[in-house]
Amino acid sequence: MTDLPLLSLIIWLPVLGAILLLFVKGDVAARWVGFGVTALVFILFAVCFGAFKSHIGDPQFVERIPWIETLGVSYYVGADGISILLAGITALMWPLALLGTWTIVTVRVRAYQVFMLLMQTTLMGVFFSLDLFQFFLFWEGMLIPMYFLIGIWGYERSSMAALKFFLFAIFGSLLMLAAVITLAFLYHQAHGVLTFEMAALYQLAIPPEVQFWLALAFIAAFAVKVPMVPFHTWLPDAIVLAVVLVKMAAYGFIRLTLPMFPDALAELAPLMCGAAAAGIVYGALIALAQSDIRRMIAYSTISHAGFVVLGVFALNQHGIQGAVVHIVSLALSTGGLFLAAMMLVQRRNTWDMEAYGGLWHTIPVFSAFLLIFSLASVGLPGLSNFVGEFLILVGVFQQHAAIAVVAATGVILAAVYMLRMYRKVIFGPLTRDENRGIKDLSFRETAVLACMTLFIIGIGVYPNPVLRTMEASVQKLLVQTHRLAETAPAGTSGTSTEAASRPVGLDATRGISQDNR
Amino acid sequence: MNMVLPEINLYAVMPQIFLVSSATVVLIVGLFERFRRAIPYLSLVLLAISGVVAVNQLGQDPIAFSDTSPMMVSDDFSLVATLIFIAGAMLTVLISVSYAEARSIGRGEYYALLIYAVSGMSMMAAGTDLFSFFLGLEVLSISLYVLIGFEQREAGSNEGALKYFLLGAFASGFILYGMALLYGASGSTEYEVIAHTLAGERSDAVNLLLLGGLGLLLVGIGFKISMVPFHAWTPDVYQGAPTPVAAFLSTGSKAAGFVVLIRLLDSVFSGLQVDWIPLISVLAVLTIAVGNVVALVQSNLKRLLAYSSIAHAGYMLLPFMSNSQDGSASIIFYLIVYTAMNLGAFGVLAVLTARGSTCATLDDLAGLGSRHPLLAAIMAVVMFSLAGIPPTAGFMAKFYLFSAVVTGGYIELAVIGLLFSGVSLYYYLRIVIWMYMRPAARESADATGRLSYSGMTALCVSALAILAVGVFPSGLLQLAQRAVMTLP
Repeated sequence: MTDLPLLSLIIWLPVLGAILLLFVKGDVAARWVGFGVTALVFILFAVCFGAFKSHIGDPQFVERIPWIETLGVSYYVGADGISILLAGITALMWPLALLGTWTIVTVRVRAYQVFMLLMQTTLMGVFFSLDLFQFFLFWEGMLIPMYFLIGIWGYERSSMAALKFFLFAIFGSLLMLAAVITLAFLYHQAHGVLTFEMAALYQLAIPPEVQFWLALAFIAAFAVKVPMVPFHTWLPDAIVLAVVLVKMAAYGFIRLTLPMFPDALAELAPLMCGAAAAGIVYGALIALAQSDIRRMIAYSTISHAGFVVLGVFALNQHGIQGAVVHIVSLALSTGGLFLAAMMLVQRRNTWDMEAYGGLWHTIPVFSAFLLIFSLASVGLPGLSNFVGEFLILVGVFQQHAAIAVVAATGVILAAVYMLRMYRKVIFGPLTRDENRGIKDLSFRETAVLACMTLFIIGIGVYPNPVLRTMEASVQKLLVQTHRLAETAPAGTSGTSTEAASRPVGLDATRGISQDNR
Repeated sequence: MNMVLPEINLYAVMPQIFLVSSATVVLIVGLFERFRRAIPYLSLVLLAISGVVAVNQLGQDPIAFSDTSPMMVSDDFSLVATLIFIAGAMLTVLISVSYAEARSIGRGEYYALLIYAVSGMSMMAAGTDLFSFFLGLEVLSISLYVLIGFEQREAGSNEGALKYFLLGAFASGFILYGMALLYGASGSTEYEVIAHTLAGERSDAVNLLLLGGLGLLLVGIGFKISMVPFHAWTPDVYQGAPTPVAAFLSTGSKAAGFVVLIRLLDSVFSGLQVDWIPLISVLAVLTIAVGNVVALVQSNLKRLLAYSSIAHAGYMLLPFMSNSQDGSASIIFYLIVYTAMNLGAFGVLAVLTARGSTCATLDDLAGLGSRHPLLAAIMAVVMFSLAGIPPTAGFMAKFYLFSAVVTGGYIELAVIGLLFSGVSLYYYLRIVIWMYMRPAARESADATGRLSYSGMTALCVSALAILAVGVFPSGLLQLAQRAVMTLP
């Protein structure tokens, strides 16, 4: 079983599906093909996950084929503990999302399925790439399906929103492209070989001042997509994809920024943590002021994305593990919340909270699901978000106690805006006649939401499998970061020299910028 | 007294001979009214044969036309360039068929002039002497003057032809004057001798002559490739010219300019680097900036594409700074990709407005996604490629080009270029928005018209090529690298 090129199948199957869709006639058939392909991808992923050995920190299922030899680029894929989790949540969410929007998307159905499939390919490609060039290719290629998804199936002013998103994203990416080329060039200068292999580039000793600029370029690309305040203004218009983007961008931080630029991180990490904490509070406060459900979810996403970034830049085991868990649970809870909201809006055609009220009496099943998703978003213990937020806060507290305190207020604010929304929509008297006739969830909708709920509760109650899957990889990541700090020229900052004096091993996983305050 | 003819080697100019004879054959056959419909296809076949001749010579050692005074040389560089021109011309012929038919400009001369232009470009690429370069340039220019004004009943077409002619004549004048100065400095018009003069000891006066000569040549070639500040003609001429001719103008004639520039700057004048590098880098940045910024506010598609082509010329100027084989190879690769992209973009307009007005605006594209899904899809591919988004060839070309710039040590220039190419996204994506996210504003006359098969064939070929090269660029990259290997 393992001699199948599993990862390539997972990456490229959706493209085949998209090509197949070109020859399919009729909306219903298109929906089935889309769902069928994504379901198949999920099954393949399950096989892959079953064969995954969690005690190995190195990439597994590695495939490598020479591709553009003149540029030193190869097709090089593999999965480690971090990427397999993120790919997993993608594999899970895609069939659910297609099933959830079965009747919601009614225009240009076939094209919708095509772009969703293409986007899945680019996402999987990003997660499994071990070659920086290939990573960038998928990263940029993703913009095309996203652009169409926002532009055609988005909400009001969607074509302008799509353009805005694309421009924001492209400026970040172009800076990253310049940095990617520079990295390969530096490596070529040092070793005489042209390569984009990530593992090789990790080992490159870059002068700290150059590192600083390269790190900034990479951070720009990722920060736009996370999105971090102040690069967030495209999000409320393009919320559809927010959850996906958080996943990608945080992965970019973990995979590239952390191991490649240790010296620059000593300076930048506290700043990033500060910005992330500011984003948490800012997003939560704005969410508090929204009466439009969609915009509220959008700003809550900005707030949650802040947590993810915070965890990543805590630069220790707890923080990074927490960030990954939080990404996974965000996909489930915010994704669920948004899907549920779309189902509601499909019935009543308005995003305004004030237009609802008293729904508990008419659609109890829906209300129950919305409750679970809202509580998960708030971070109720026993549900998945709690695990992530808790680990992140623990991780950050070890580094920057003050920032952790500020960030923790985000959890409280989340409770306020989520419960406020829930109260307005579900509780209270049933005052409007339009709300009386609403139909409760269909079997299909119930199944989709139930599936997500299952995972939310599962991870919340017993997060160990998830944590164990990535433990070795996160440790390896931190050791890599640590060793790089050791080999970098001395005297750049107090951090790297102190870190160098510490023995490599488990201790290293506690972080390199522990005392950089 | 005996005249001694120098030993000549006709094999070295075989592709050019084939091209000139093809054009003449087309011209003669075009006289007979009853063959009129067959002429485009005859041109295609003849171009293809010339292409095969060129392919046949690939990979050999450079062959000079004559040993005593080389004039022209058949090396991989000139052959690859010739192949780019021929491919561009074949696509142009295909998109011309229905356009020329509908506007009754599809006479034999049209296609004959197109092939003459190709032969001129090929001479420019193969020239190793200022005279053969100039000869090629004039053959190209004179053909283009006529082609641009081919729609006699359209005022814009006449205006464009006159503008291009007046400015082109000036540009030729500059080049001739530059040639005179270079001759004065080195006593010869041969590239090799000029390079030799540059390499040796030289007095201040000679240096001044050489610099002046190079400067004047740059003015003339800058006009051809529409480099700022010699770009002003571009939007007007593209707008007025028959759309397929504009396509040809923006790809072929620009490519010819760049090919000559590679020969001149990278081998002949590399001794003057210190002097031209600052100049070219400033002009390149200006070209990129002007092209991209002015394109933002265009709603006439041909003008928009004109400014976009100015911007692309700017990108292609950047690798000259690195003065490396990779730099030249990246320009060649970019030219190949650029030819496919721009022919695709203009081709869509040509197919779309075969019967309508000469100038399509953004509103003509509204709702194209539902009216002509295939055409819209091709246009979208082309636009994403021009913008440099993977998995299209445009991305690969940009990547290779900018890595050559970075390798040359000009990271700032690369960053500036990349950021401006981010700006360009705005106007390329606006086209996509109009096609897919705006309902048709008005029912234009040709909305329901059938699209020509030949035109669609050409467009599908370009779009597929763009995607294929975007995913598997290796073969073309190697070809581009091999092409510049033979340069001295």
